[in-house]
Amino acid sequence: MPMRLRAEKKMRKHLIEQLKARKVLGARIAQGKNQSVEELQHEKNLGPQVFLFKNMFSGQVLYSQVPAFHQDQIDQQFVRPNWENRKPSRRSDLWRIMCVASFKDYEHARAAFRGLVQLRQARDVVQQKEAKALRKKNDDGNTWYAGQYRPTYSQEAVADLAHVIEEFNLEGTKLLWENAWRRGEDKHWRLDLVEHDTLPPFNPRDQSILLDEVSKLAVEEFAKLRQAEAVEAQTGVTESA
Amino acid sequence: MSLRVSMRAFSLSSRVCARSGSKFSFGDLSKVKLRAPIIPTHKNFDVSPDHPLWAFFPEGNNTETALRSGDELDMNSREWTFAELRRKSFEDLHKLWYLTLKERNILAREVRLAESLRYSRTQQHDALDEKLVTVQKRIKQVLLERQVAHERVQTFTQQQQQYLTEFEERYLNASEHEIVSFNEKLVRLQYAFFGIEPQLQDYDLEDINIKFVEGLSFVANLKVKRYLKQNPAQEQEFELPLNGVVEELPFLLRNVTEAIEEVKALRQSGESVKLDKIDVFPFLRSALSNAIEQEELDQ
Repeated sequence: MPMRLRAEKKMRKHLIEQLKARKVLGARIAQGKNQSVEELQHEKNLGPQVFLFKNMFSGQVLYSQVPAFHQDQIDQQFVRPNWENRKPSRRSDLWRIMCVASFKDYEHARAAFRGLVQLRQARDVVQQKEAKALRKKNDDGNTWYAGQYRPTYSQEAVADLAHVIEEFNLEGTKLLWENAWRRGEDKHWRLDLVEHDTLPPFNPRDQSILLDEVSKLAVEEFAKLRQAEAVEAQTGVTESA
Repeated sequence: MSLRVSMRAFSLSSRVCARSGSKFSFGDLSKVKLRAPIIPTHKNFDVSPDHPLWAFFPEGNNTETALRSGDELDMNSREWTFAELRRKSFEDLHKLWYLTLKERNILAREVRLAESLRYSRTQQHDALDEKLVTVQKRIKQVLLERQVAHERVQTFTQQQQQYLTEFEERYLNASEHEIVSFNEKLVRLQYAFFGIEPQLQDYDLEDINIKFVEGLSFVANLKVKRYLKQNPAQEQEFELPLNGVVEELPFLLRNVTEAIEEVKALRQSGESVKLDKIDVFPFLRSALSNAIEQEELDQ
């Protein structure tokens, strides 16, 4: 073994630490588990939205408040992995946008995100058996799958989204679906609260661009709404005066 | 003591508040009633009734079953024979190829479906597919034969010249009732030997080459000679030889009498000039494109 000087060893250790620190674990904008309203609105300039990403490999769904995802979110939302529900990979080519939910305001968006995470917690941890009872099974009594793909996870995410919107009465919600067939039949949705639409067709290579555009549109729309409300309030004040 | 108890009670109650007090929270997760997964449905969008994927089904969108049993297949059919295929034009063979291919795709899809259903009685499908494969092989063989024949003709320059001389002789000596069939033969000959298309609209103007010019010269001289042989009185008025492509082209586009008149008019007006070699192709291109346009206008 060649002799190494102490400084050399130190330098080596330092470099390894640097490399570890530099490792990118996802989009920096999505770092952190729960994003506050101020952070979203003022620091990151994002709209009141929740993004649902579907994993092409396993069918699992990742919720995000920003148009990107990070290892932190995967760690937060897949807390009890097992052979059927493995902790998904961070690979960005596997996560395809499934739905973009736009809400009336940031409170609603934050509530929906937290509600979705809570329901995921309920399905994976607290009410594991009940959740499993609702799934389609194969002949062996396991959750139905083809290869590693379990369609039930994305269907559960859609059910949870409908649940959250109805539970918290999130009116004025607009859902942009990647494919119209995913939202299922209309009987599952409170159509007085929700409006369905589809995302424009896009090349998966340019998914991040699409999401940025959608986010920008949401910010503009939110600003417009607030302005209209302010004008309304002002006219109301002058009339009463 | 009492203070401590009340403080503990306060902190507990505040924690409970934080856990479930918010308007936007599920509270105790063990009491939430989970919903059944929402199954996607195709009812949310319309699908065109003539979707291209219906081409994979025997009756298109009227198909009743995804997998035909062996009895439903047409097992009495036979392959196209070489003799039948040799009589077909290229367009017909092209269509036939794709009809066969579509049929094979339908069969392949059914066999694949049967495989995934573990339904093993697909021998009849395979037998029919083999027949279709034979048809495809024969189509290829026939096309190959044509290609070989065409290429061999190109190399037979001496024989070609001999044949052309013989043909010229027979054409000039043909009687009045034979000349119709000879003219038809001439059309085929000029296509086979010189690549001159029978229909004006089929001309590829980029593809005019030296062969075309040779053919034009041959056809024009042939027609003139026959005309002058039929009408010896004209022989004094009309001088031979023809003066290059400018005078030869009318014989390809019009019938002989009109062409002769046109050439005479050209000679009188002094427009009949012998073109330089470099001007021949551009002249032919522009003249032919004008003729095609004129024909389209007339139609």
